[in-house]
Amino acid sequence: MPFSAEISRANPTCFLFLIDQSESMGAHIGGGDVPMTKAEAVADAVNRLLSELSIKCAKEDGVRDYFHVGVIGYGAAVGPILDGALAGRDLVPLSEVAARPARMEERTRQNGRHSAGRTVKFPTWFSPVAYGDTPMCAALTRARGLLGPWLADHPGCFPPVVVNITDGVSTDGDALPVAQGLQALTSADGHVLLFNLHLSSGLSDPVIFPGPDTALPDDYARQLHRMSSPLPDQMMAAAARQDLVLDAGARGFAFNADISAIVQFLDVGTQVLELR
Amino acid sequence: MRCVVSSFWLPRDGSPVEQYEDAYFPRRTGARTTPRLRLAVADGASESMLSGLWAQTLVRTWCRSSRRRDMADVVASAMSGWDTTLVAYRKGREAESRPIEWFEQPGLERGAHATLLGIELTRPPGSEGRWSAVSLGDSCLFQVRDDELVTAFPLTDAAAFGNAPKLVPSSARHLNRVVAHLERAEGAWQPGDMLFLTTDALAAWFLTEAAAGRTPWRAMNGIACDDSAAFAEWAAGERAGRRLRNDDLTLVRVEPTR
Repeated sequence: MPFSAEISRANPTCFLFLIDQSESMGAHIGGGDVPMTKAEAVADAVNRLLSELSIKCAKEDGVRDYFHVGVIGYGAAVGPILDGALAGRDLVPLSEVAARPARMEERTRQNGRHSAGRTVKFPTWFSPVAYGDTPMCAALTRARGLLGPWLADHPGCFPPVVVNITDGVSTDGDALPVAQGLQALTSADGHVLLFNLHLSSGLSDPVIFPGPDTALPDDYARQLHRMSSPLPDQMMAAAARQDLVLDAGARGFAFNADISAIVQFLDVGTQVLELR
Repeated sequence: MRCVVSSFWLPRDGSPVEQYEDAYFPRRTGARTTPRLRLAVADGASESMLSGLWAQTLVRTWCRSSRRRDMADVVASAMSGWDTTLVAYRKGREAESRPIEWFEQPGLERGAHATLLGIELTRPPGSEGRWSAVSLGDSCLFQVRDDELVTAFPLTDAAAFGNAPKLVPSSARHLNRVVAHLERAEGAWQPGDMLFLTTDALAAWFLTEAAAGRTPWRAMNGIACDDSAAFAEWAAGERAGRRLRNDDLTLVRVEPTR
């Protein structure tokens, strides 16, 4: 059965984030308490996810390398965007990610409506950027170039999960065949999973994890839907735990996502590890 | 009452022994004569810090407590000592020049978690032998008599093993909730019975085999006391055949003889 490989330090899997850094990512996004640009909301959500993964995999002897993680930006350039000690690195074992945040911010977390809140550490590994075009084909090609050798080194792994986060149409060609090439990569446990998270600055309602027959608003949405892999069972179960009612064959795709939909999408789309 | 106690354990395949996060008690194996005997197994949750230490704390506290001490008191006592354990842990880390990292702090604040199964065997003078069991989570007790499974507790179906078992947390804030969810069972034992205490992977294997009409207790009973190599060899075969989930394994076997 595909998508059933045990994830362990001997057999890790991989999360690769492709982040659109085009100019339009500087526009505001809805759905949050604080006004934010799309680029800021994505950086916030992905940095938080890296932090939560590190905490989830932390044990007394350190952070366990159940995952290798990469963050590729595409805008004025295409390449890894981790800052600080990890600058220039593409796929990094989680223990190194945890050990080397680029910055450690202090944020206030509200403990309730009336309490003063308390300061918590918020590590960040990369910063928001909004400059340039949307070379999505180059980013998907880069992902394929990274994951091919990674899969050769980890042939029995739970398939890598690639999350492409964008607000616009590819400016360097038709992304569908490139996406299909990426999804054709495989481990013994199944094909690479490609999920697409489309952001909106408008007020349209988000469509999250649509089924195969869900009506979508335009050709662009339909193309991103075709580029998106169906959710494996454990992610369907994670969605159900969040009270999302999904059609059978729901795909890892969101259209017109606002801030809360980004968080929900990343949470469901990275539920691969059955720790207990 | 005379019993022979054997215990077997293994970390998950691919993990070093230091990362074994189950726990069992008593550690001493072999025959013993005693008016009462407490035994326990616990399974520290992978997704929490210091869960192996917490599992050990729970099984020791249960087994070293007097007969009058119920599981609710035992858990309360273990919880009340946990802050001291944490302070000592932090000091130890500082002494090793390895202060607590940002990614460890939330886990230490959330506390440790473990399943727990404790049993007590007694034989009042002139009466039949009795056992009582208390559990939270999916560590299981099996009682076998005359080559038949007569008790499975608290789970009776291999399909009931999921990834979110009930757990005993180290935080005393949750004591009332733990006490409300404790499950209890009791029964009689006879000389010649076999009792097995296991953590979840072995328990799921046991129930699957039993449901298929096989006799998993024979394999469990076929390993000589203290023959950890035979247990490891048996587990490797079952894991390779994908009949046994790759997880920490713990088995405590009790054979009351009179």
